[in-house]
Amino acid sequence: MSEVDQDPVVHDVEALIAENKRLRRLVGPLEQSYDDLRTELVGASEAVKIAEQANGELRGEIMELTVALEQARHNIGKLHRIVLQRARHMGGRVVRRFQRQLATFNR
Amino acid sequence: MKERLIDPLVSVITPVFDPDPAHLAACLESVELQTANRVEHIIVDDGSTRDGVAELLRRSADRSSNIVLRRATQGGIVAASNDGLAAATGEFVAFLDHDDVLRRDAIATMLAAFDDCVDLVYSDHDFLDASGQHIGPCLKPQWSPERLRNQNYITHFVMARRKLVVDLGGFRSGFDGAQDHDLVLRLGETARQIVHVPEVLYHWRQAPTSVAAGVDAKPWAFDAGQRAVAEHCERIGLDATVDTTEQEGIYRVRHTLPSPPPLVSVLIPTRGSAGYIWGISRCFVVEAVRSIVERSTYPDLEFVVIVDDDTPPAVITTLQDLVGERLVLVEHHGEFNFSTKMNEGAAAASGDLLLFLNDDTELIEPDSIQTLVGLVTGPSEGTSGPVGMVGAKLLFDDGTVQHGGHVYFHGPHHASTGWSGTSPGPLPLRPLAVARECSGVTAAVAMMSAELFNELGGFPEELPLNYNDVDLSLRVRAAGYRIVWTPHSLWYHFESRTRIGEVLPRETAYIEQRWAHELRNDPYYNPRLSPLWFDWLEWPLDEPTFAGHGATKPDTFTTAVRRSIKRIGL
Repeated sequence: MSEVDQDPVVHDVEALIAENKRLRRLVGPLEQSYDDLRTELVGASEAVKIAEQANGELRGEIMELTVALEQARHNIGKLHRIVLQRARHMGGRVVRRFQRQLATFNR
Repeated sequence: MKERLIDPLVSVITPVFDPDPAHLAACLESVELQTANRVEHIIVDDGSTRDGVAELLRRSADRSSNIVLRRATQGGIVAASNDGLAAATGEFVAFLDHDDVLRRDAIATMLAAFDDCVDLVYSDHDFLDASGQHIGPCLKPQWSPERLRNQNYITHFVMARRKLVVDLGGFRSGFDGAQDHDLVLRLGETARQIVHVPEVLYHWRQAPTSVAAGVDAKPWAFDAGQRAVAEHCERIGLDATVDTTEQEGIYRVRHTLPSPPPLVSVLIPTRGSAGYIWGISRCFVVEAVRSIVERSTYPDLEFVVIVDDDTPPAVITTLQDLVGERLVLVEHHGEFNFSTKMNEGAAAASGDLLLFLNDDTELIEPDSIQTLVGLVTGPSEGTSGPVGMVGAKLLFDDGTVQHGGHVYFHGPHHASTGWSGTSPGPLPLRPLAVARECSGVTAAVAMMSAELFNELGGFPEELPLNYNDVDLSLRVRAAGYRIVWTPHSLWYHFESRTRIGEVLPRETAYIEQRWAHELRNDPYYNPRLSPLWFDWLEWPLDEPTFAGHGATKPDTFTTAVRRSIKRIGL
């Protein structure tokens, strides 16, 4: 191990220089471009958020319609049960009356 | 055991002013046809001039059970109702509008709900259009004082002990249009017990000028309602201001914060994970904390962050930079257990109030924390007890509702998930727009006092991932506290972005075994609502009783027809 490596201050400086180089590669020659990039990123994210929310509004409407549709299905089912129940009741009365008349006729 | 009353007299009071004669006739007939034995109908004509009304009332007066009073000058609905109240002799009084209709057994059914301790009974109602068609029901929760402050969800049909109503001074002048809201608020403050009958006993006609017709029908009625709520707050010692909202008939009661505002410890369990939201990568816990630091207007906060062993040091450094000395770091060792982490966090917290916060959240409304603090520090109310826990409105990243309070109806569920975040929720009660009691709230964003949390033993460590908030909520209620959900505390919850949602069988077994009854009987929902949907979807009244888990879904139209054809033997 070299003497330089053992000195923590020198080590830190070297690490910072390396980090600076890495960041410079990412940012480019001007800091302004990094700021621009960031602003652009925030703007793009905001656009995504707005699009997502518009999507969500539509999804919410679909959900409301789904619930309304399910309610309508429930109601139709109920209506049909009522109609069929009454039809059955009336049919039964007709059959019973017919049976009574048949019995009288047979006698 | 419930002691039944033997055939008491019920006085039905109807103030009349220029109704459609056909509607008035239907109203009078519905009282005449009541199955209850002893009913007197007190009809107060408030100076009607419309053709046919006087004749109808004259004919009605011929019936022995009817008392028709005529006011010389028009005094308004309050004066007319009070005249009716003064003439009433029944042990109970019920109020019926001049164009509305009662179900034949309405009074008998309401009477059956009274016993010695019950002072007030209300039922569900539905709406009639001008032609008499039934439009849809209003299926209500059990007694909910917080909701009543924010919305007159009771409206019709109300029956109360006459003595109590008279002692309170009857209807108050100056509250015309909201006189019923004002009366129910005052009855709620003094009644020993209030019962809800979950049956549609009252048909409320939607005349163009009726409050039932909604928007702009009677704007002064909502102003009167606002005043009624403000005076109610004063009477019960609730320091608050009352505002109207975008939703007609829904108020916002803003509780004044205690002085000095209590320290709130925000408990955030995290492992510092990251993910993509709205197209960019974020470290969830950092952004959750940042949103509070940058947007919240609450003055006194402490951040207790409970970190796993593998939390990146950079995350901790960033949090320290964000909140400085207000950060309390708690290290959690071992497997992930939400309950254990929250309990460890609560032990390290020094706030009077604890705000449970998932790391995948983001504050939207700046006064969200104030709103929660105001509610959880509110006064105790009669037999209803104080508020023990408060929950918030949570949205997914697309703005749809993730959490609108829990519904414990054939299992624990989030109410109205997937509805638009801007929607007031299903009509007519609009549950997503009103602060209200509910059976439980998610711990993703919830607040309670540290004292109560410790008294109840914290989160159950037997439930490491799921239902820990359900169990805590049910213990809060079992201890006599109410739980309130509010739409005015608004947050994003990027749910399950930080861990995979998976329910362990032992968690289901634990919660089922412990709370079997409570998970099937939600007092703040309605037994007439569908057990398969949590959007206040009406379950047809003649449906067979739902058998709980494993039961089949309701018949489709085709199946219903086939089944019926088979049944009648065609």
